[in-house]
Amino acid sequence: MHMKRKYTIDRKKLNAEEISKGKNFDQLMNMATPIKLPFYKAGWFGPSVITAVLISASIVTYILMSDINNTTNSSTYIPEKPKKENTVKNKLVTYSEDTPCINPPSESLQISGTSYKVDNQKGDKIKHASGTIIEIPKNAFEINGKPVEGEVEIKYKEYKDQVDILLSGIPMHYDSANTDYVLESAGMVQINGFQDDIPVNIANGKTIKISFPTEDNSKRFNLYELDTANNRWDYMGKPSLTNEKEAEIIQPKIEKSILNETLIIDLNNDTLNITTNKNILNNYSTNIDQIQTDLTEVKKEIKELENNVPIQPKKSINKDRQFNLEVDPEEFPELSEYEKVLFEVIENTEFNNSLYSIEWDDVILEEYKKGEMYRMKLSKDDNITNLMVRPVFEGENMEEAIKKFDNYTKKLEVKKEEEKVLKEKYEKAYQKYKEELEKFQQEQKIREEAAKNWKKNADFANNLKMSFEIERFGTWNCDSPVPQPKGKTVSASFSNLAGTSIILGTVYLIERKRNAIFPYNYNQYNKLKFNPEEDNILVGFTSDDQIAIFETAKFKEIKEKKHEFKMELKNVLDLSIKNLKKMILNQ
Amino acid sequence: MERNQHLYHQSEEQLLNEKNIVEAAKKDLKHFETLYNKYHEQIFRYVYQRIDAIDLAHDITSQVFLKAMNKLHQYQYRGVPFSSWLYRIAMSEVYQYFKDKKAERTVNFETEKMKDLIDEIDVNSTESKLKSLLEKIAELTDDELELIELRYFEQRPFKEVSELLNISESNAKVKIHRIIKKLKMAV
Repeated sequence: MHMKRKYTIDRKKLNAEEISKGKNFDQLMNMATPIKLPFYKAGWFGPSVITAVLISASIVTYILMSDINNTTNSSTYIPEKPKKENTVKNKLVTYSEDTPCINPPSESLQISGTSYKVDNQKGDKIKHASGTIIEIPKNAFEINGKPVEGEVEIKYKEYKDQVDILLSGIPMHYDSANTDYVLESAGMVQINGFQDDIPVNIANGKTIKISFPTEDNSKRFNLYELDTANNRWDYMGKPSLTNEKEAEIIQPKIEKSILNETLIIDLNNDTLNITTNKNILNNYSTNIDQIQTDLTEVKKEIKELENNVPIQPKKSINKDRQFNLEVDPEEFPELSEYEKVLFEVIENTEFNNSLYSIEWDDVILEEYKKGEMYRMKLSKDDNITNLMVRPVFEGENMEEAIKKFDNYTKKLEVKKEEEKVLKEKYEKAYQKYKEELEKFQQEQKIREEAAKNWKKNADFANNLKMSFEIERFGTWNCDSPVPQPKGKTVSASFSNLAGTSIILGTVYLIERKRNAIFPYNYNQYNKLKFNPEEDNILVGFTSDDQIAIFETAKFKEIKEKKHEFKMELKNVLDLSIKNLKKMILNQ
Repeated sequence: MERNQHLYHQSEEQLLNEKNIVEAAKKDLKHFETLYNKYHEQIFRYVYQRIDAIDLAHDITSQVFLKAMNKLHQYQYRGVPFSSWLYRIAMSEVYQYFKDKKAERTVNFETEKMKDLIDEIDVNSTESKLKSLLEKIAELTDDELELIELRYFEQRPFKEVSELLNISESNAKVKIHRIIKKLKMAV
């Protein structure tokens, strides 16, 4: 079914002139009765102005009505009669928490307020336990246009989370362009001033600055003042985000980092990210290790070479006094380089050629003076002959031996040169490593300083404050209008866990992730909306001060369009606000 | 209804300028005249599209602006033209009128502006097919008709349609796509 319709095809088009015939701004101006905002800033507003000024209804003549040509339509449309609204309201505060629109759902669980005494002549900067700062200038208060003398009592309450809001009984709906929103709060306060229980006003031209800690640095929040007389929130501009500790922030500085790294401090994510890149330092260390390994290797080679110094080749002098022996290179490494080494009996040793003709049982060569002289022991039966011999070379073998000896000498020289270079490199690298290590240690100190600064920065982030100034006592709220939950709509009825029907009045849907409560009164039970994807909880109060709670997990069981919410009942008298926050918000 | 994208698609500077005018009007309503002059014709055409009576359309248009002036303190800039807010008031006023007076809601077809819809549905513009299309449109629900009207008869961009109906742009596209599909099958 849809509404009655009339279809027209290619109706006569109207031109701009015909359309402008209906324009009459002056007439609208006469009819308009806006709420001027912010009216307390208007020049004409003064403390004596407490009488409502009514826009005369007489000027609201329905001229438009007279223009209506009923020939085109059988029905007559009468424009909405402008409401006789006060353009100026009596805003004298009468401190009463029972203002018509504020209805705390429980008598037992009420958010307690704090009272502060302020000398009006001195002003004060009040630090509330929650971290909120209330800055009151000198001579900020007046009664009936006269400055207040002496002390003023400031009564202050804060509502920070959904439970606070729920228990406050403060309406949180907001209408914009006929669309109903709920206000998601970043923080709501009630502040009033009294002297001897008589309400005082904030003096003309004075403001009280309220700054409360917030973790939300988005700029989506607006400032609203509760108009208790009309049960609505008036938009009052934007609160500002400030941080008074900003000047104290010391950013870490590393002018020239050997590590070529940057310190990253991410305040938004509340993390400190300092890359302690030791790899570069390790590179120096690795370099030193490599040099050391090379050096050790070279030293080992040199040692090996020096342990195996070949004899300096000497030419044979007397061919008739020589023996050709095969020697064990391991036993005589100094001879191992050479082939065809001859052992020539030295001149001053008695030698007889007949020794050649004997077939010796054994020949033993013993070192006498390494590389220069050896004892050759010839034995047959019990006869032993000792000869002193020296290693010599003949002809081509001599030349070959000289070459080998030269090669060895050169090789040793090269290795020694290598050793020298490596030692120098090691010294330099070690020196560099020490320098870099020192720099690294210095930078570590800077890092530690940075970490301390980060802590300050983190504190700074935690000290983010939402601030606003008020020219009038009352209920003020930093909020962002949010639409009703979407996803599922059910027709709700309520019972206790035993299934007995209960009467709850208004029930409140709370999405744990949004600092907002969505109230549904009796007439709205048939359209209770919630987003099944969210972490929901439904709360209500009975007339005998019991709290009824429908747990998050049970929302998943809701399948039909009609649902009986089986609520767990608890006696409010048995609960503290802390308990309630634990139950509802898991705090 | 003339295509009014030039008024809806405003540069950031234009939007901020308009925002300043609104803020000035909040303090002194005489500044509202600029907005009134700028949007009167648009709002009138919107109303007139749905109400087949010129004078009545004028009255409702006046009522829309009167409401806007009275509720101006509640208006919040959301980065879209002020007209978006006015249209929503207009929509509310028009439907309230139908409800209160149990009056007929007019649906005005302009064959010239039906072309986009016809192209979309891909029907031959034979008279019989067109008649069939109109019959099917007549069977649409009020919400569906509003979407088709805004998008095709008034040739509004999806973004504006979504703003007016307080739905997301992608949702507007999906909904319109479904209606087109429905019409296509029916025709």
